[in-house]
Amino acid sequence: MRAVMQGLLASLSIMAGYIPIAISFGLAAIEAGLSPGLIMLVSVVVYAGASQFVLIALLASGAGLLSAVPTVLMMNARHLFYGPALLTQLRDSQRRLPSPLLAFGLTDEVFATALSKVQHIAPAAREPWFFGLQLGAYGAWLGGTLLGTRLGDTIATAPRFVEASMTFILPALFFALLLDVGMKQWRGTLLATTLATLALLLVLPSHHALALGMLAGALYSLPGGQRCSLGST
Amino acid sequence: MLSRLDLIVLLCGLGTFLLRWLPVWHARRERQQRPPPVVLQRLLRAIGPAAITSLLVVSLWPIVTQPENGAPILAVGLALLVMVIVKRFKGGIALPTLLGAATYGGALHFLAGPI
Repeated sequence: MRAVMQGLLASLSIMAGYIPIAISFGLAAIEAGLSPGLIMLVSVVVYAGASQFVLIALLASGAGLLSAVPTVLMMNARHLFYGPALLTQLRDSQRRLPSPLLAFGLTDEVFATALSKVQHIAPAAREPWFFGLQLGAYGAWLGGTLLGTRLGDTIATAPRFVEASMTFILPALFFALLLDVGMKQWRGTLLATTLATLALLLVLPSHHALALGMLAGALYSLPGGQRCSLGST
Repeated sequence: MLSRLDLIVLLCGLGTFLLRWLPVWHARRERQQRPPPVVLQRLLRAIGPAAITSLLVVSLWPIVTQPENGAPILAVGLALLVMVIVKRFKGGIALPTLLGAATYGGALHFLAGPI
């Protein structure tokens, strides 16, 4: 139980990023004409930020099953790599979560935060800790969505510099995580990823550039590229 | 009775869940029999830092490519600098994140005028 609470505490930085984005999602979906019930259903079952915004745009435009479902799945295909990468850090955990529970909340931000912080958690407590991390992030996402659907008008009157700050919370979170992971240790991988992602952004939609840039950076760490210790992240 | 929209949302949810769960299920099952090859271990360890970097680049892209003056880029630079300093002296994730976001909003307000 203590490890779950530690995980919840570790999710505070994700919550700070998720709440404003989920509020924006709720607001955007209401403006697109979707019912509050359907909007909550999207956040409860899909739970994948960017693809949810695309999904509501598709639903609002009358898109059918054959165009909406493949689009969302293509956007989320990068999640295929997160579980196996995370498992390399959880292998010594004594308490094992059922794999569906371990995988359900594996979003970009949860994965990135887990990878940067899990080293500081005792190996035996890692899976309960990760469960707490997921729980906090998921709760924030659902709470933010609910707020967006219920309190839209009130929130829309916030000062605009506060809105600008909100738009920077996720980049700030990713930069903080990068500083935490250790930029020196991974500099070759980071440089390769940055260059590949930038080049891909010029020609591809951002979700494809994200997945391919990530893979290109990770491939750089293979023999011939950056040497790294298997005992560190 | 499910509506067409409910069905689309449920299928998107199921598909996203399977994208996350099937590799975990497969990797756990394989690991019980034999550890993954060293090359795959190396690749999987590098996925984390590479994913964070790619997420950072993609999330900054729409900010720094705004068709305005250089204010957003300066604000981003200032915010990242503040984050490095706060991270060095205070550590953690939440405080640097929140101060970085506040610095960005404040700097943009100051540099670009009331936004």
